[in-house]
Amino acid sequence: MTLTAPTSTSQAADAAVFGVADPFGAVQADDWVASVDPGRIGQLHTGFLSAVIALAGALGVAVHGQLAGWWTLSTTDDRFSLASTFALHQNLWAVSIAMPLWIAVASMVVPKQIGATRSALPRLGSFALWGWLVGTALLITASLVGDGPQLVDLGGNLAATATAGEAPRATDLALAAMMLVTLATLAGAINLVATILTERAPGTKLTTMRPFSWSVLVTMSIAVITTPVFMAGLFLLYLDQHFGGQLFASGVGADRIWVHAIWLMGRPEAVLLAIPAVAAVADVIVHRTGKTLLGGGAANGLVAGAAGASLLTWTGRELIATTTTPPYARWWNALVLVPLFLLLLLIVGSIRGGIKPDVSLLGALGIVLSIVAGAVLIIAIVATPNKDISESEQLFAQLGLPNLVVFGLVLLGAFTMLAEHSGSIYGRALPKPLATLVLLAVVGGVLLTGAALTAGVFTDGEGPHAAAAVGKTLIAGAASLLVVGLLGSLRPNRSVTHEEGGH
Amino acid sequence: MATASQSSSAAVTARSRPGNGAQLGVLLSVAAGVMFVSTLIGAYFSVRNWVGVGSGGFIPDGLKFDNYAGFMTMTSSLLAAFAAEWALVSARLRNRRWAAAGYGLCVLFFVGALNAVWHIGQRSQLAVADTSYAILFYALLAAMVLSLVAGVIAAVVNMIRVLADHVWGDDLLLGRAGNWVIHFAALTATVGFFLIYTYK
Repeated sequence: MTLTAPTSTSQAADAAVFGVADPFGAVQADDWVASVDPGRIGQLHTGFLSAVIALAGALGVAVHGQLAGWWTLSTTDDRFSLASTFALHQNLWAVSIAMPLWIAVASMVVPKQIGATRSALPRLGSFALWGWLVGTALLITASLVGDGPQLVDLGGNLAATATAGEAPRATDLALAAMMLVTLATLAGAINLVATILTERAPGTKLTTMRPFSWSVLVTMSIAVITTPVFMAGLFLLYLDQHFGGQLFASGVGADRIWVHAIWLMGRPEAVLLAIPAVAAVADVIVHRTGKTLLGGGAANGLVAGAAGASLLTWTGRELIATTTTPPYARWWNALVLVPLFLLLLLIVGSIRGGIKPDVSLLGALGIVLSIVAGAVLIIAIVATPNKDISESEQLFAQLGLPNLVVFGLVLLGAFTMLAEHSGSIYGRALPKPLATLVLLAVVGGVLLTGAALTAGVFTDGEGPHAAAAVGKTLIAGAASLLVVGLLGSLRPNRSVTHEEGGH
Repeated sequence: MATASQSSSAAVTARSRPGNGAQLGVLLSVAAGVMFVSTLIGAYFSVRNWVGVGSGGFIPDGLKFDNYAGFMTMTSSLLAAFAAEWALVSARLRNRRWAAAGYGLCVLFFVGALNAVWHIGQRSQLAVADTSYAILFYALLAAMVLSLVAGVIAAVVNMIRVLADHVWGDDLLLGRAGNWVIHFAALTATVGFFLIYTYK
């Protein structure tokens, strides 16, 4: 770890006025706001993201609380209605949290693992943070200035929530905000791919990279070609809603374009996002055992295989026009799980000799449990394709898998990597009790929410919603605790460079 | 001290030249742009095949386009792409005057193409909200405008780099990256022309 030299001009001026070089503590705002250092950008990004996760979790609690009969959200003010709250909750998770969280964590961890001294495209990396922040702030603002019907729900309810005729300005703002967030995500993905391919330390080969860095490379490479597809869908939706067209509200656009070509939950990211989480488990095990994975480069091959299989889930979209279950719930979509399970077997086989206990192992265990539970859910849904499924059950089917396998694994993977690497990233490791509490809450929250939503596919009643509300409370609580922990772990005025060692 | 400095410089050389990252970044951005435009084209065909081809179906009754503006858009864009390649070859041959002239021509051709696209939009007499076709039509025009503007920016940046000797002789990395953006703009305008005027 290197200490940053004082910034001469401002600190000299401070010394003249206050008698000390840095009267407000060692932190200089300019060091953070104008920084292109991937470590600092990642620290800011994860801090802001944790706050947004807490907000999105709280919105989920509000939704499931009403469905469980605990309270009733506003029926007179559209801004705070059940539908609006659910739309914001879903849009935040899908657009502002899932992929940006990986980008934030990867921008801190990957340069250390590959020995990079800088980002390949530092300004693009900076835009990934600030574009995301402005876009997310606008998305939240849009839900507060609503002047008409609820925000567009980008999930399976698009046709029902798209406005026929000119949409309210809040919808315009929300769609523009999501386009900005998506553009920032694309910028972050391009920066990471370019950094891994061109900024590796001499002697660091692609084939022998740590599994997490490799998984980031393949995940972000596919994100570069799939994120623009989603952005084009948002662009069409914006034109349609802004000018009062009928393309999406009539169902033609929603059915033909959105659900079967661009559907948010069916994007390759839906399964693609799970891959770095499994690689994070491998990373933790390698770090904790001090031994390489069995099979040499086979682990990286399996990661690439899972990424390739995730593209199949996308190309299969057109063939499933009449299914009542979500488009991803088809047997060939489950192929993506095969390489991931093989990778898990390799990881388990690599645990030989002693393993250094750490709280991050808790997160790794949570990831494994989530994947197993997700597989059970996929098999259960695929095994009953002709089930006379009610609207409520269909909603659960659409929610269960994303909560468990997509967003759940992103959360678990990112939090696990933060717990594992916080010491080298932030200058001071997260306090063990806090890290344990955060990981326990997030593992419990993800599994409980996933189990509750899975149960909702097969049983009626308010019970699953009550359990999901508790699960999301745990997730929101974990994210809030993480914000506090990250703030406490910041060691001011220390720039984070690869020179502190990595692993 | 000298040893440390030498080893540091050797490490930088072994890692990669700084331009490599920028070139790769541009290549990835162009790939993303291709996917964006491809999605709009895919959406066009998807809705067209769903609603039904023919008069009164997908394309509104009585809608006629003047082929001239569309053809000029495509031709100008292709000429801009050729001019950019000519400019880059001139830079490789260390002929600054012709290289700058090539990129200047490229900018002029792209501005001409932008004018033609604007003309198409103005004369189409389609309201965006009228039909599904109108939304997809204007989305394609917007994609053409965006890519042409990106092409103009790339040509101007390349011209400045040529004049400042940043793209010169054997060091054409950044110039090649800029030309990829220019070719993407030309490709988008060409595909847009064929989709709107030929295949419909």
